[in-house]
Amino acid sequence: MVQEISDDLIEIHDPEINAAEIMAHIREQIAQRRKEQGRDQRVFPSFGGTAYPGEPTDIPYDPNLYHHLRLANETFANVETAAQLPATRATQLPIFGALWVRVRAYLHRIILFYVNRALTHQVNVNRHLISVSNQLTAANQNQHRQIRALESELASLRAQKER
Amino acid sequence: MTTLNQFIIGATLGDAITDEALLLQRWLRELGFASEIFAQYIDPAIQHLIRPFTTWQPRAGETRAIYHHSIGSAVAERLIASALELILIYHNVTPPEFFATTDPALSREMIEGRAQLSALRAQTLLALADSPFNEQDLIAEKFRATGVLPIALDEARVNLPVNPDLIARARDAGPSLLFAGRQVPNKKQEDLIKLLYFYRQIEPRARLYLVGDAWMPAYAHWLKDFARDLACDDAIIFAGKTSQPDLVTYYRMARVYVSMSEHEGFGKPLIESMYLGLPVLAYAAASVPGTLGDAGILFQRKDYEMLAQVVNVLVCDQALRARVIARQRARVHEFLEPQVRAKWQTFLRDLIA
Repeated sequence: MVQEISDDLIEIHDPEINAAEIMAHIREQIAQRRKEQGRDQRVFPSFGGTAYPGEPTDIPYDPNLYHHLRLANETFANVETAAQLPATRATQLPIFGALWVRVRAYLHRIILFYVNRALTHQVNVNRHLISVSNQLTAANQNQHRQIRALESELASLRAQKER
Repeated sequence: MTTLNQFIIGATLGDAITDEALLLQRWLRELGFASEIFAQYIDPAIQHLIRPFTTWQPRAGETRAIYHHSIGSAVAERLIASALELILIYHNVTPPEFFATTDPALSREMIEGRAQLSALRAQTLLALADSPFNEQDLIAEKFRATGVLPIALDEARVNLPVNPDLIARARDAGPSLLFAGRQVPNKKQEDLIKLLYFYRQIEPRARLYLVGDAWMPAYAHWLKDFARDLACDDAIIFAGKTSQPDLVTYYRMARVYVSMSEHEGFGKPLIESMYLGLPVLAYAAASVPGTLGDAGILFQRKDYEMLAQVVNVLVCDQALRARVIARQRARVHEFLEPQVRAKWQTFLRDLIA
């Protein structure tokens, strides 16, 4: 069955263009293609993943779970990669010192280039894992609420039966 | 000579804020002001044009400055602590929610940017926004005098010859869609990939050009993974940050400019597309409807299957295409340099008076 398609999608502010006519044509084409090829019902993921769900206020919860999950959310991307180049006795030597400052800075930059690549990969993995943990925790909260509602319904039914 | 310096946060070639600061600098100098641009981050390619903001020291008699605000920064912090009276040019601060789950540090900078906007109010004589949408934020923050100064289109930067190598590489491609903008979650490049997935069911040779800096590497990386998941990776050109002639070439090669962006302070590529005769199909979010005005085609929902058909109509229906392009060309007139410059001079004259 072809699902009805509404035509409030596009907005064209031009009196010489008939948007309704264009949408009618598009509707026909979509209906025809769905008839021939079936409907593509693909569901797409999103980049952001799931946000930290926060401690629930209406159900009991494990404080450890939320404490560590919150800290993981706050810190998963904190990576300190700036070069630390304090002055030393060697950097203060005449002539050689200035040269050593430049060589040392260059070496640090090369190392940081590779370190940053590895860290970027690790932050990406962290992001995926934390998003999954957030989603599972949110699902757990919802299931907990459903179980409580069902338990309460069951108790009320039992009470009715016993009466 | 009166000094009126400008302060920006990041200075990069091709960036809308940097380009605007350079244009204002030229106008100010032509009016006889002494005017330098100071920035916190400077692209080495333009370090001869911009000065590090840490080197700024107020000159005798320097009482006013222009500050371009877009994110929380040390530049704003320093200006707030200074005694300068400001002309604030507000380019909008991206809502932190777009980064909350993906880049908490960036999200914090956005939150700071919002807080700094409030803190700037007391010393701001005139707060200009580059779109009516942005001006609403200034009014909500109770700035005394507000106005709209749109981003100007520099015709010399878009009337460039195309890059023949890029044209040759795209010779066998089908109709191409284009989006230009930094790869960041609020610009929703992933939604363009979803659109391409459906459009390829109509036009299997279709391509998508994504021009813009991989500003957030995690997002840029994920976009490529996502394209691979949808088996669209062979049809997407991740062009990255391009030279201006290459950008113009992509505009010339594309058949439709599509924006899925959910937050734009202005949307400079929209006016570039309009100027270069590329039909625009854009999600009606933030400043996008204001920038397009009565031109282009807006959509209210992201129904990818239907939008793919709209793209197909825009590619194939020559009469509709010509009409949309004509209307866009009329609209873009408002953003050309003489019009924007006249507005700027009116604001400046009123302020000095």
